[in-house]
Amino acid sequence: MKANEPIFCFFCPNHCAMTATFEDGKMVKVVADKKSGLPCDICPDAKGPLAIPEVHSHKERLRYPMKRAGEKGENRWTRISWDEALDIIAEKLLFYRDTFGPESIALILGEPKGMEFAFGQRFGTYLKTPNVITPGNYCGVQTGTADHFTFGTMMVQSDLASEFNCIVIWGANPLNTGGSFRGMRQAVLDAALRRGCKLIMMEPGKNRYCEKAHHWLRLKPGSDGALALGMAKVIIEEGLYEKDYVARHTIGIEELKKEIATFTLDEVAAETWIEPRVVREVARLYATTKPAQILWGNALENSVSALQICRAVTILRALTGNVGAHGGEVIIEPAKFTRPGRFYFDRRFPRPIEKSIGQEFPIAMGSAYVPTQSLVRSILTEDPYPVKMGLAHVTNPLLTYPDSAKTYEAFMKLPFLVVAEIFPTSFTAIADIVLPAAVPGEHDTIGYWPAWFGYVKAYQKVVDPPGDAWPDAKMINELAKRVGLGEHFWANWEESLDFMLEEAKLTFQDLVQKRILWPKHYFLGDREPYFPTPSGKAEIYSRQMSQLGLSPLPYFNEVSASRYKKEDFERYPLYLTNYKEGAYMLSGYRHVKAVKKKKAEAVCYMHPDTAERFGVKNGDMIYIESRKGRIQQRLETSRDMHPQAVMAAFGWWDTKADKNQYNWRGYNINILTDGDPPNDPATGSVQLRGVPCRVYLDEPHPAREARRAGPTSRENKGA
Amino acid sequence: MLSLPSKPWKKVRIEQLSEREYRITFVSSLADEAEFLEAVKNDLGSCVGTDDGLGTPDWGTRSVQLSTASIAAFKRRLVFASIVVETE
Repeated sequence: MKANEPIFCFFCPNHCAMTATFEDGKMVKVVADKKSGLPCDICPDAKGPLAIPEVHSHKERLRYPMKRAGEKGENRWTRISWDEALDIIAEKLLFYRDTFGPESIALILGEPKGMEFAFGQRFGTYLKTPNVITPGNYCGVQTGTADHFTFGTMMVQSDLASEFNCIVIWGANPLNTGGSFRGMRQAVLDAALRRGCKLIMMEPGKNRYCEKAHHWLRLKPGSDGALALGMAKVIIEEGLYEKDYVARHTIGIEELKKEIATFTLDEVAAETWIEPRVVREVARLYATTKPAQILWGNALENSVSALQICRAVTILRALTGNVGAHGGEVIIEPAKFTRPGRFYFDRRFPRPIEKSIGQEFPIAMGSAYVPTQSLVRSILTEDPYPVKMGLAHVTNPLLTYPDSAKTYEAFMKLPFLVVAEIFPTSFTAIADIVLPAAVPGEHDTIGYWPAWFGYVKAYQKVVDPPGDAWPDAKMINELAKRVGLGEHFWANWEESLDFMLEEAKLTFQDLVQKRILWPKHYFLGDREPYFPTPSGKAEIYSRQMSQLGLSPLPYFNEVSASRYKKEDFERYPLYLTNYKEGAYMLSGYRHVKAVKKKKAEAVCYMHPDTAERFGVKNGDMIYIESRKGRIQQRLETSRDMHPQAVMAAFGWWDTKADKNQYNWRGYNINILTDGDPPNDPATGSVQLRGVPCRVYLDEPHPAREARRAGPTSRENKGA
Repeated sequence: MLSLPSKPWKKVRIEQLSEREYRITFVSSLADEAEFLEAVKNDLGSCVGTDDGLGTPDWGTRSVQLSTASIAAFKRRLVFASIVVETE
């Protein structure tokens, strides 16, 4: 018997509307639900439609709770019941809480899909641990906070309903990662490009939009802030800024004028690899082609000055009067539902920030997360106190935290680690208890993420989870009851779905009928004041940031800061950046054969001249080495790459290497990265772009090394 | 992940009275005493550290006395309660 059910994809943040077809109760096919009118840009690799049916029925899914049978990291397991698993975990939670304090317990959360992130935050609140670790320090918080300080809200999105004539894609790969943080849809963008919309790409590597670009700037990885300030300099000095808008709707232009007078375009060029002539041309094109949008992405958030870099970029939007304009970027009011903060926090139980790890990062503390590397450091050093237990939900720190070797050392040291996961991973391999997690579609849940899209979506159950897999939210709800926190949770966790919709005066079943609640869009003039900042204007100069002890303007010296010095590039003369796969969701779902067919191994990109200089060629399995370690990836040479850059694939491990912790060391770019200070002083961001590296085919040889060191090294030595 | 608030901003003036004593005065308008008391309890209350203390609110002057060892930390917390400090 055949039947169709509406579902949402969970393979990228765009969460497209889809229809699943079932035969005799088994999901056999997933296609885009274009008739629904809901967002459903199917990515070129169609990873959701390809993967989702297989995910639900994959034989390697985790099915039952398990406890460690061998030594830690040996990956040998004994199947246990949910009762036994929850009893063991509850006993440990109570022991560590009562012996070492609740702060000795860390909640370790990853990319949210449904309610699991909300439950994790809520559990942290009532357990009274401040240590809720999320990837906020390199995803979402920097861009969101820059918008918040500048425009008064992180809820700024593309106006898709009006025509726009210029698009800047900056640090984003819309085809691989679901549009951009601005909620742009590919169909809308493609139609605009066919209409003649100008496209500017800020991309040191290459993605499938680059060839369509009017300008493609292969900037130095991590130098985006310097480029943005260079553009601001041109726009202001040539009088191209929207003078009436700036006068009426912004504050701080005079302070910015002073700042842009302190550097030259030659200095911008030295920092960014982009000639002054090109900076001028691009700035003029962006400033004079209205309306325009900047679609920004995650790459801007991966440096030690990430927040100020994002501020420098977002200020361009204010200078050109594009925020609030039809066809520009507009402030939205999210769909009405119980604000996540109300679910996460309780005034009666304020988060004890004074005990938090990473409390030196004010935005991290205000945004309810501990930077990932701060947890790793605290576990290893026991400073400010020993961390004894971790409870992790749908995250793989060995692949996604900076400095994987140090991360591994830390989690191996942790006395007790619980990992809830969908498939076995390198992180489950080093756990003490593994819990099988159900994915969306296998249970009812609400999708409110990414928060800045402003949607709320109903994910209804359409298929049974494999074995005895549970939703993460149910695990936390049941655990809460076992440790005496039941009064703050629910008899049945699914009652929380109605609670989340209370303010919308809907039940979850009502939302299932609607599928989605939409945000409202506001244009300039629709409300007063338009910008919900303290001044009621877009704040180029931010007094709030000053109040937080941060620079109120993005200063050229600050946005140009890197954790690496010139000397670091003598031994490692290339600049490493990375890309997210089109076929996968970050480091996850690597078991799925349908997407493995699309991409079977980690591929890195380099210019052929650079490859020749380093004695490697197209198709070689090369080593990429930084001062932290080395990995291997397959080389694909491309004349589109900047000759000083290496672009490596993110998130690779080996699903077959179950005796070797799934080989998290082999291809994983975070073997090469570094989480040690300095970090971004506001958010704790780390330098994941522009990491000094070198490449070779086999063991380095002293004679070859001198040749490979190349002109950069000689210049540096002479400097 | 971001929990920065979206409610309207309030503005306060901070005057130092002694080494660790400060007067916090609401500069932005407040509808009535109830709103003032709520702002002191909920907004300022959420910003005091474990060793800080708030005195009795005075509706007449729209002010309350704060005792704190770190006014910088208090000011940082005010941002997350949507309170901006009037420029000194």
